[in-house]
Amino acid sequence: MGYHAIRKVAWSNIRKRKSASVTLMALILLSIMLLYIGLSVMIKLGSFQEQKMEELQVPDLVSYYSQNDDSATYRGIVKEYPATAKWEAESAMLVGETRMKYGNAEVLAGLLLLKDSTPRTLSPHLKAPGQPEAAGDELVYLPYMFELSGGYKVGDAFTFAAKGHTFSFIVGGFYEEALLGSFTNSAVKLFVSDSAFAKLEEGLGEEARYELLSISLNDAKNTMGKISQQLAEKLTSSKTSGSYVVMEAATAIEGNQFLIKLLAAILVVFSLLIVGIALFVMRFQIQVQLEDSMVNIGVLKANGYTSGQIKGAILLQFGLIGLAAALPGLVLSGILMPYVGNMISASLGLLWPTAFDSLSALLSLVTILGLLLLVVVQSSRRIRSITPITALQSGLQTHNFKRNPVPLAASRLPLQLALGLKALVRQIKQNVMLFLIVAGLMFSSVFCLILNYNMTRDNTGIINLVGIERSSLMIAPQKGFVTPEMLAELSQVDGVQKLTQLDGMSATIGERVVLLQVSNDYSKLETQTVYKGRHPLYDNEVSLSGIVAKQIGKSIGDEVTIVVNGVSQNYLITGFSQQITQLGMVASMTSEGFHHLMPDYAPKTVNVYLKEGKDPAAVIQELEQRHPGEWTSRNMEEWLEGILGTFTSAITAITWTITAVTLFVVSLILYLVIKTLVVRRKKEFGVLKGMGYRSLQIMTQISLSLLPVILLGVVVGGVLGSLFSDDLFVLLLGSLGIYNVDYTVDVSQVLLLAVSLVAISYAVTMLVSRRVRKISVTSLISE
Amino acid sequence: MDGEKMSGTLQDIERPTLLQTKKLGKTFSHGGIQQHVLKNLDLTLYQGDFTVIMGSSGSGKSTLLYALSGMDKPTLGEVHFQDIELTRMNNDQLAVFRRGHCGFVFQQIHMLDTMSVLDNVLASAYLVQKNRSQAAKKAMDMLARVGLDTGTQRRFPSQISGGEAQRAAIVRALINNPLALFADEPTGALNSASSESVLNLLSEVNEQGQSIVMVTHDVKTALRGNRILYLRDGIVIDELRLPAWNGQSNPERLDRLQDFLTRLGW
Repeated sequence: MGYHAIRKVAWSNIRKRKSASVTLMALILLSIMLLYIGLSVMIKLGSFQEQKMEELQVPDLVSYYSQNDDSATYRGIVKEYPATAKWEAESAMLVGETRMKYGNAEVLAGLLLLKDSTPRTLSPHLKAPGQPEAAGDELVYLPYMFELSGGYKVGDAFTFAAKGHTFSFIVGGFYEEALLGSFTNSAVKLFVSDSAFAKLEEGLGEEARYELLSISLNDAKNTMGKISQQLAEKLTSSKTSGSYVVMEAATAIEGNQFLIKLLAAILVVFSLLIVGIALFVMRFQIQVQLEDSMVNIGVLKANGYTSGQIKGAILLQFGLIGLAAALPGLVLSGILMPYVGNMISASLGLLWPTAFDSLSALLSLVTILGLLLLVVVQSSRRIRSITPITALQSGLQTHNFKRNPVPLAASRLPLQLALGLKALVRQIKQNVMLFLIVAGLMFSSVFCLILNYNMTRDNTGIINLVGIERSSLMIAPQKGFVTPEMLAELSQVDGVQKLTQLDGMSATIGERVVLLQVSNDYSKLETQTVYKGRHPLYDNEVSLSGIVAKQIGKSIGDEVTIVVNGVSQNYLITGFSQQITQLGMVASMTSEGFHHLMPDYAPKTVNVYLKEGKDPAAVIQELEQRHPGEWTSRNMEEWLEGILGTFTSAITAITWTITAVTLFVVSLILYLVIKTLVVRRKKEFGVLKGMGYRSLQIMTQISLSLLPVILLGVVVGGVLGSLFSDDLFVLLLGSLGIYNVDYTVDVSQVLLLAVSLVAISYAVTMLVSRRVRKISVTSLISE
Repeated sequence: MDGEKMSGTLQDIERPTLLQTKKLGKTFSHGGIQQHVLKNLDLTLYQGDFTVIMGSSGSGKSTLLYALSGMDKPTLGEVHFQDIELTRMNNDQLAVFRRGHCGFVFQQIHMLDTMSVLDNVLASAYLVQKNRSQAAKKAMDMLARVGLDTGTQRRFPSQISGGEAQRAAIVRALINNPLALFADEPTGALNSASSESVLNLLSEVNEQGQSIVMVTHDVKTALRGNRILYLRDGIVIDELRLPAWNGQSNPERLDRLQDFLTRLGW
């Protein structure tokens, strides 16, 4: 008796347990799909950045600033820097804030427009082979994001308004842009034809003339900090410059990838949860199979099969089921991956490679099948200790007779409930499994619901994390600084509630370049980023982001030296803050405090907060009429919506996927449990029918033996999800310096999910337990 | 029909009808082959009788029992339980009917092995009886009367003997004062001592007026009945009337039954 005999037994087991096998296959298929997608995203993300940097010839550092007398100084810094490998400077036009059609809505974004014909080797306009491009005058080339989620096609009109003019160009094509290709950055880079550029120069005037510096460095990892610091400090100290940007490629890409990484991590964790559930289910199935086929095992053993051969048959049975599910699962994930890739591409502005990832596939396959076989081996161990005689006498004790749960004589509960509870206690092992599954799935669903809610409905928590100030408008003078007169005028504008100041500078702490925030009053800010201690109040104080403090080993109450443009000063640390901007490398001080580093500092921006119901766009229009071309205004509400909107579709998709999978898996498990239960308790149900119980009463008993467990799982999972999702976020975002998260939990959404899960479970329970209707008393006799 | 039948008829006039079948038929189909187990059966059973259904294997005894009790639906004909027509009822209506009118005792005992002995009885009692404390007291009293003390009542069916379990099953069947107690080979799985105690219990309740319909192929068991029906190929071919069981077997009663059975080719 060799392999053929084992195969025969394995096949007969699969055939006999068709629906259980199919249920397990569905779970394995689902888990391998989720695991493959999550793993391939996580694995590829690391090399993706390097690959794209090389492929698109992305410079290590870019900076753009208003063209003026200092431009030569900035170019000089780059030219003189010993590690500079290659650098290019070119003219650009900057449109501070403009509204454009994007998908079914409008977004507000800045545009950095470059002449397509300008020769450049760093981040050139690479025309992808096979991609259509339009011909003609006044063309604009947009980042791929506009095609993937913005709804634009080659030949469409691309229209925006600035400085009282409406500019309309024809979309000539799309290209990949690593740094300035999404709304999360200060401006989106576009290439335009010569005639379009001329039209822009004419319409936008002197103030819009910018220069873009692209720098490629030798040993960028070690040489980046210094030049970035020099450039940023020079731009910060410049009196004539308007808004400017210094962007390190690695930091920017890392920042862009943060959410995708978070979502991939969620997907991997969730897929492992599903794998865990599949293993639980398999263990349950093996136990049921062993108990049900005890006599068969006895017969096999009596006929000379060894324990190893019987275990081998079970191993083969589940191995075949695993393979039969895992292989189509991988094929299906390969089919699904382009859709996931599109979502990632839309978030990153870069084309995600959709080619099948063999490494992830192999890893997923080995993980799933390995765990599966491990559980089979572990669960089938007891076959060895069963003698043929014990097996033939159905020797395994399946019930625990130590006590009689819910004794009817003493119970005051309704009869169906009492009988249901009896069954609940009796099937305690199975119910513990069910409880853990429901609680785990509910937890992950609530986690995603909270993330989705905070991203799409009440984004205070997310904005606090990102660290952007929640004002209605941000206004900056095109030239010079914010003056007391400007502040006085703004405070008199109809509908203005308050004004605050918050500038972002560049500074050095130790060897680290940080974003140094400067404000005259942190208590007036809406976005509070300090999670421990307090923001600085006096000129000798500073608050640091937790990650900076950790890196330099300082605590609250310690002193820290901050350097700006060669000037250094010691400050007392008053608190720790957190924000994702600049990958969490942030310090904050008062305006008075910053005067020690830059005595002639004057604020460059002012945040305007409007009263409820006042339209920021109307105020911008009013200010533009009063001071045409003098002030740049950003509608912060719309701008924030645009930034968050980039991520919303991916998060919503993940939330729906996880919620749907949760409902599906719970239904699947209930189907399996009830089907097994009806088969195993057939005699009991037959006797109950003989006693006069109606099918509906027995179905209710089955429901009542499972629903309390589901209810408990839903409550525990829901409560834990609501209480500890913040901690899980901290765990996932810890590398970005996020140590404290306080997301809003929308109780009504959690309740709705809980009620839906229980209602669906009840419906499934009643539906599947309809099988008891077929059980007749006479079947007791015929058996 | 012989004289026994005639005298039976005279008795029948005095007894109210319990059950009546009209042209009762039951056919099973297996792989396209039809097997007519009951054929146009017209039968009347009476209240207070201990009716025994006998016949060789495959004669349709159990099928008849389950058709009479509303456990199974006949293919043709009608079953009237007093003035209730069972054949017009759906499964749920039959379930409700059974809980109020019938009690069952099976050969394989079929106690719910996941409940204590007492809970087995109460699971049946609480379906019908509203006053739970009274029902519980009654169940405990009845169990005690059949020799199952409080300790045994708390045990699970697998922890007691077959005879004890079958006595508990009879209590379960009687707890709702059914009009008819149906028993399918109630001693078939028991040893002789246990069989005796179970049969004594059935005779005792019959003596107290309980109608019993029992299927058996055991002559000693059949002796307890006062009306013996003999089934062959789905038809009652003859019946025997005996005096009510007086607590003891006597040779004359045994002879009459054996003659009856021998005549029918038993």
